[in-house]
Amino acid sequence: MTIKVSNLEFSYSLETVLNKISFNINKGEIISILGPNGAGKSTLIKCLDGLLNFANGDIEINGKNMKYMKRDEISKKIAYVPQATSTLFSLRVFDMVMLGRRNYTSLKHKKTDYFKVLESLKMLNIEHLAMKNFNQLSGGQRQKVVIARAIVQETDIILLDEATSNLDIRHQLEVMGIIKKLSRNFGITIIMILHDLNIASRYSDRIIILNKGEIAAMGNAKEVITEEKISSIYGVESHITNVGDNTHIVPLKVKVI
Amino acid sequence: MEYEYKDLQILKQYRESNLVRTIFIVSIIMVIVLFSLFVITVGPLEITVFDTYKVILSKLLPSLVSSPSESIASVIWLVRVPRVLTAIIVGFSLAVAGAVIQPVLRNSMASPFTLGLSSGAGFGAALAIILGKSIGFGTYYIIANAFFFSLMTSAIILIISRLKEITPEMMILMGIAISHLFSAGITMLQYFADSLLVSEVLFWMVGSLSKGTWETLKIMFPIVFIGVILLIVKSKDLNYISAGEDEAKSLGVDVEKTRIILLIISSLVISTTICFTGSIGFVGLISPHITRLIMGNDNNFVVPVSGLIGALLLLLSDFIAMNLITPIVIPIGVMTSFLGVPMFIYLIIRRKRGSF
Repeated sequence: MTIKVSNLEFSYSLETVLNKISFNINKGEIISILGPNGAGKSTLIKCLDGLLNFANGDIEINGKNMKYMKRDEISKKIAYVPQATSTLFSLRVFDMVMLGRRNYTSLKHKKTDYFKVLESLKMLNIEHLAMKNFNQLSGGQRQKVVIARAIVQETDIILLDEATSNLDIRHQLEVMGIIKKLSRNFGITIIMILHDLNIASRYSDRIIILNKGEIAAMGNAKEVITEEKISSIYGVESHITNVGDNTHIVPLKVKVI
Repeated sequence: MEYEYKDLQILKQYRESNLVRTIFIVSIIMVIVLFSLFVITVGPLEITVFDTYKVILSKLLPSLVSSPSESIASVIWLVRVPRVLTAIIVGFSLAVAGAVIQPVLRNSMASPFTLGLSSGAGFGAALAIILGKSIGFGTYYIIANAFFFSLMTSAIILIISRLKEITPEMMILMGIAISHLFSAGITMLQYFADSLLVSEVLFWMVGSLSKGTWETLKIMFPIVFIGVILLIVKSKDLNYISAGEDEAKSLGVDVEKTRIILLIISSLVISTTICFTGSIGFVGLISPHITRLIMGNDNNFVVPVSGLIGALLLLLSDFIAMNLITPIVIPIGVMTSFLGVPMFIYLIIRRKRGSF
């Protein structure tokens, strides 16, 4: 499933958050969106899921303009994992993941739904939490539950807004491995906001760096993550080494302006 | 995917927990039926249990059972049975509406009266009683006005919310503001009114099930029945809204539309009940919380079970109100608060992290 974004603009009142954003994403690609705080990354993700009504520009999903798609039609194509989830009346983990099966359920859940939920809980190694209350879990465990819910939604695109930020390094790698598997084995397109440049460079096919609502750089890790760009976008001096396909960044110090 | 024994145990455990919930629902229905049958036998007039049930059977199977006497039949069939049915219907509908409104407005302290419906109804009733101004006539002189003003308060909020895309928090604040406005209106009317009329308004506002008759049930039941069924069916989307607005949208729920539909139906159900009985507080607030404490937060269960808890709570409150200091009948609105407040404080103290 392809995504085409053309001249996307979004403003909160008078403040422009996204300014003429354009890019194309191919089926099964893993795209990381990077950038300093306030660059417009979460706004872009929310626009891609149709959660925010953007003023100008177009988003096309497989050639169909999102403006003409209904909410449930979008949810059949795109799953969204937010930065943090805080529920009012917390469900059990199994029920929480089952929410992802909305498009496949009429009145009663089918046997397949139960097995899909179990499968995705197992994929994320959280099946032991199935009967626990969602609000009683740690931040990292909650993120895994929400990722499991996105997986059972069985969409062609998954959007992740800093979905690994609450995870320790072991669980980060575990989740990134699952994300890579979803992309390579099932052709699911992944668009994720990340802050960890090393993780982004290791797992992404392409990286988009946003700065002040505009695309500051776009391309593969070697093209985008350079000492000059990190310095000009983040205001941080760094040391970058390329070993094989991997780019390693060591932040050194905040640049004195 | 290969499943191990322990994985399948998770599914078994999940299904069993839902079975336990279903057993609980059946049990509470039985308790309501049995308690109703008991309540009908109790009253200031000494009527034997045998005669009480004979009256009911004579009405249900007139060709097989004869009624003991006309006066006994009148007391049982025209006073006690409608009162019990009114308690069940009103308790059920207020609690279902409360269980729906709390997640819809994303506030665990919201109740059926958060949008100012009870103040609106009170103002409508006061207007009819004191100034004699009403949109209705005859028996429905006060009822029609209470219904109209009750529904008007939520209509104002819903129209503004539709035009201005306001948040649930702003809706609650508007409800509080409108509620204060109508309360001020009631005070103003009472200030200049005759003391007899003031006490009549007060009597109306504290709520009473004595106004429940077969005639009122005929009007109340179809509206409440259809409304409650719609609320229960639509309540499957409440789990999504509870999980967060963006997430609900992302999972395919049209949040704004669902919120408006649920609030319109809830308002209609609440207005229909309180225009006949007056404001009966706490049932709609506390029943959903008691339910969540017993069986978790899955709204597919919480909404209908809250209704059952609400019905039982109102039946119990009415029974105590009628029999605590006989022959005086304590107003039902007062009794639900007397019972509800300590229970509610207990729940707040007991609440665990993540329970609410």
